[in-house]
Amino acid sequence: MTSSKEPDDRPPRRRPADRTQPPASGKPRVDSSGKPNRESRAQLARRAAATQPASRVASDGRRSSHRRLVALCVIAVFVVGLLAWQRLTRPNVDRLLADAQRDWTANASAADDRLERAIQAAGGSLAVGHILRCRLRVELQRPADALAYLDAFAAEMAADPAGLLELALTAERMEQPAVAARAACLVPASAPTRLAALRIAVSAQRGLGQLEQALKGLQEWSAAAPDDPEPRLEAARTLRQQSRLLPAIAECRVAVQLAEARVASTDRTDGTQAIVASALRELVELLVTARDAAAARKTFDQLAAVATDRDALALAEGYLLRLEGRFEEALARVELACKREPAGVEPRFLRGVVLSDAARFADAADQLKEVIRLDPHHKEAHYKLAQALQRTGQASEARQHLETSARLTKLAEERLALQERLANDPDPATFRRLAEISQALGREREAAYWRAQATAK
Amino acid sequence: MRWVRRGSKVASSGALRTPPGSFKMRDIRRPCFLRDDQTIGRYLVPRHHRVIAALGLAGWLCWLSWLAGCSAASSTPSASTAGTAPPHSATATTVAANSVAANSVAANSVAANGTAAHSGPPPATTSDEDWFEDATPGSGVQFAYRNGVEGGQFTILETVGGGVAMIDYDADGDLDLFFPGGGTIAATLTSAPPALPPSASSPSASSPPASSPSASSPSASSSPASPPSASSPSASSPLASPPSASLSPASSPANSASIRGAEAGLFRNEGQWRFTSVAVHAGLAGPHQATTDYTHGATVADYNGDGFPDLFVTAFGRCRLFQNRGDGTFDDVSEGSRASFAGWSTAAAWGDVNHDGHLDLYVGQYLDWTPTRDAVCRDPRGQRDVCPPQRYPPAADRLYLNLGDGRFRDATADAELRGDGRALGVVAADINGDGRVDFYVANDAGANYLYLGAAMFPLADTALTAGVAFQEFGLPEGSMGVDLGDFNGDGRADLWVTNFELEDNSLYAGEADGLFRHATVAAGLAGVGFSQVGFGTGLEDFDGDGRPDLFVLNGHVYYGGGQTTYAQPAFLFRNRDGRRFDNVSNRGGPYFARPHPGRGAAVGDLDNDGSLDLVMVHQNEPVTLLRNRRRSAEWLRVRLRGVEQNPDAIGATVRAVAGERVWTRWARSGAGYLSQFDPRILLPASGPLDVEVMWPGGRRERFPQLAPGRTHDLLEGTGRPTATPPSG
Repeated sequence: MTSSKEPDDRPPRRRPADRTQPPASGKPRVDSSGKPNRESRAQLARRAAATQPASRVASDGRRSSHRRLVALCVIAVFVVGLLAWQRLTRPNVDRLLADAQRDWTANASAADDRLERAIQAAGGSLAVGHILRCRLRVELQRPADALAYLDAFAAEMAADPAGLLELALTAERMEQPAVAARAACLVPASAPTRLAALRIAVSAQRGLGQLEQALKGLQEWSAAAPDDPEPRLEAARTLRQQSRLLPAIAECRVAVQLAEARVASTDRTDGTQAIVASALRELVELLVTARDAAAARKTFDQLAAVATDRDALALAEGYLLRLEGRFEEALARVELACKREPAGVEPRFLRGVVLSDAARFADAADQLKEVIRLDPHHKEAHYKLAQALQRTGQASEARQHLETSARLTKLAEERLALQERLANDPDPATFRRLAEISQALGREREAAYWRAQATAK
Repeated sequence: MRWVRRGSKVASSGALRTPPGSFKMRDIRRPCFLRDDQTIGRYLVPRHHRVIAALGLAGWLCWLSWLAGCSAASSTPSASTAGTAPPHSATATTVAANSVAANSVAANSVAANGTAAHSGPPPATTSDEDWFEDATPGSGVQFAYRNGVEGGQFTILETVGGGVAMIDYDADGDLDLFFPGGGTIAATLTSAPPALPPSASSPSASSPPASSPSASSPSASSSPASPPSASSPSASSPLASPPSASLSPASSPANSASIRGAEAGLFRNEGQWRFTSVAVHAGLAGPHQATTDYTHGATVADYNGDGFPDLFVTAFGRCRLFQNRGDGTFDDVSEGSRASFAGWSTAAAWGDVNHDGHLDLYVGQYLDWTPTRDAVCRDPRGQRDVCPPQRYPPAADRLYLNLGDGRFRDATADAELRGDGRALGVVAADINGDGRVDFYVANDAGANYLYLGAAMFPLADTALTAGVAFQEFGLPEGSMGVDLGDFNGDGRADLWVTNFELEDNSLYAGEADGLFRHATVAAGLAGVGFSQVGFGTGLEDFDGDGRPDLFVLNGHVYYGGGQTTYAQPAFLFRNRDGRRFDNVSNRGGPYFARPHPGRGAAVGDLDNDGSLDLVMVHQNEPVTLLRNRRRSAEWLRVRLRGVEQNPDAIGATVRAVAGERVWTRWARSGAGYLSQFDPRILLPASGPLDVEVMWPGGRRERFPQLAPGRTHDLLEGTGRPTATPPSG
């Protein structure tokens, strides 16, 4: 506000450094030429300003405010323009998703790219976009990628329970139980699709041998639907897989009771009667496995009373009759089971076993050879065949089958031990070994799962 | 399929059938695209939002840092609480639960030997139909095997239990009873690894354990072994030889600071079901024995041919050989005989393997386990419990050859015994009828062995080809007790094995050509015992009809009871017709109506009345004597005396003929579970019997017209009974 053209009567400016220390006297300081020095000029200017009229001060303030306002307006215009530009150039999420669907079968790479852009356009948390990208990986048979994707975007995907359920169904259909189980488990507990997701998860976990997790899911299912016999029946099957036969029998008995109560409470007899038969059949099998012939016979009689097709029970009855030591009757029922299921391994195996029981070793050997042709990894069939061959004088061939049986048994034991070890030590080498063992045991799906796990680790 | 987003149909498609690899997809191709920071950044922060984000970045950062500071300040205490307190509290809960579990088991158990009393509900009265009655009260036999449950350590050592040996140690004609005492386990385990001699090392023994949870095990410690206690081997045992350095507790896996042996029991049979405790006097109990080995089983034979039965005791620690001095006392000759080693011996059996006339010794071992290798396991309910045996490597069995001069030679390597079994039961007899003694070994959680006697080493395991290694479908079982007999009267030896829960006990019927047929289902024994864990057993004729019946003593190994209960009822089966068995447990007597934590058991005629009695051993519960109530004079008993062969004629086969009926019996060793049966052979006889003996080596000798109702000593080579024992 001051300049060198200021009149000499104006007070000299004061040096900024000395502003806090005014001169001791009220007189301005002068330099060697007699003019007020710079500090004094500043002092004089302040004095002059203090003596200026108020109108001039107000004018300066308005100018300053105007400038600030202009600056703010410029910024606002810039921001508004920027936002408008962004709005105009922002991709349309729905359009991108539609385009991805269009490219789904023809160009999966492009579909994935569009999905990615849609997710970006939605701010990174587009649940359906994430689910679709994961599903794309499932359909491309890349379960490891799908699992990794699920792990990374679990929180985002949980916002769309229906989509997760669709994803789990797709994975189940594509025979990727690990992905199916993981996706189903992500469905929030409060979602209406939770029970449907639990069914998928339990089924997949049982297929993978994750029986403890399956049992936890079944507990939740039972708690949510206490009158439903299905979770009880599934629990019985899972416990049977764990060789916990006695708890399995207890669960199955509860399932039978619930199913019968359901039948009693409704006039319908088609679907509900079927679950009764299913539960009774499972109970018969459990009791036969538990070698409780008396209880199995009693349950079987109940089953026969409700079953619409008695011949369909031929195999179960064959097992029961054998357990009762009635080998000839067992053989007749097993013959029927073989006729109903010509390519079935289990009826043929039981036929071979019963023929051995009846000391018809040549026939038994033929039957068991057929079983092994159908399932070369059937270790029990190898063992029984060896015993039949020993008794028909074919010792060297018997020896081979004994060794095969022993090898398969050892592998099965190692598989169980490694699975137990995994709980404490999820080592990739263990996964790889499990994949090898599963492959050697003819469990292709399981081997693929362990390989995927090894890759993911 | 429908894609639904916020209620609007977006797209639909069928399943993609594009084969993998037919195109390139950047993100899918990337092995782990999620770890690409740039890509993650692109997912989370879209490009066109970065300008706005940059405008607010500073403010956001300030706000977030302030927020983080506040939350950190507020959450730090709770995080530390969550990170430390729950594990501690969980540990405390576990310990408390364990203590409760241990106490609950111990509450039903006996605190100490000698003060044992009957527990559980009062026994029901014996009815006229009952086969057995409890003869323990008033007998003077007060003894309980101790497994160390009170330590609360849940070690697998506690599962094995103990047996009983019927031994006429004073040669008075009455069977006396020897009980190994077991031991105690301290609340804190410390141990040095067992010092196995080099010849004993097997590949499995030297291999690391299947799992190495001991590092995280709160119950295990890797601290060095404590010094032997002051009460270690002393001369207080009157005739016990002072142990050498190699037999000291310090070289044993059972460390005196953590695992201690409990006193054994020896009860002299005074007749009329009266017994007197003589263990201390006999040199089998006392401070010396109480501070060393945690004992399990015993087997009896006159290994030195002096006419008095000697005793071999198996243990975790050192197995020991006690020589009967003939004056009512025993001498510990473990060191001098060299038939002793440090390890975990369980079942043992005598048999002349090399046909030199001297009894050799087969010793089964269970696991390569020490307290420092103890693992921590939990049952499905999450409660701490004993670990399964598969968690530990097996220990190789041993074979000791009797040199005939009181010493033994370890011939394990020469015999090429397998080292991958966990032996719990052994029976030695001429199983295939070739005149040579064979050994059948029941292994836990693995294949059973059948070593057929041969002219020279090695011994070949033929169990797989014979059909006695596995169950009927070729799967391994957890086998414990074992016995042999001829249940179907065909003259061939049949084998009987008790197994773990959810496994049938296995009956193997002998056939031609050395083969066996799994006959459990055909004999009506399927399912019976499926829920139990079978231990002590015997294939013996309890009802005197000449057909061997069965009994099984059950008890679980898991304190939680596995899928059933810890204490389980015993079973009794009657051989109906030589083809099927009937469950007559409800006619067995009050004992069979109550559950017991059963382990070893022995069969023998304790009162010499011609009927077979039972002695049952339990975990931490008093032993029970069961008197057979059948009274009949239609019996005949023979006692074999080898001359050219071993003195006890182990490996001999006896055939008795009465008209068209033929009974076959075997002179055997080591039958049952960790126990020794009555070595005498009892036969049904309503009149004079012709008895043919096939002595070890195959020589047959006929003893005609033996009178019923008495015991006959059959001396090899004489062709007639030599003497009649006083009480027979």
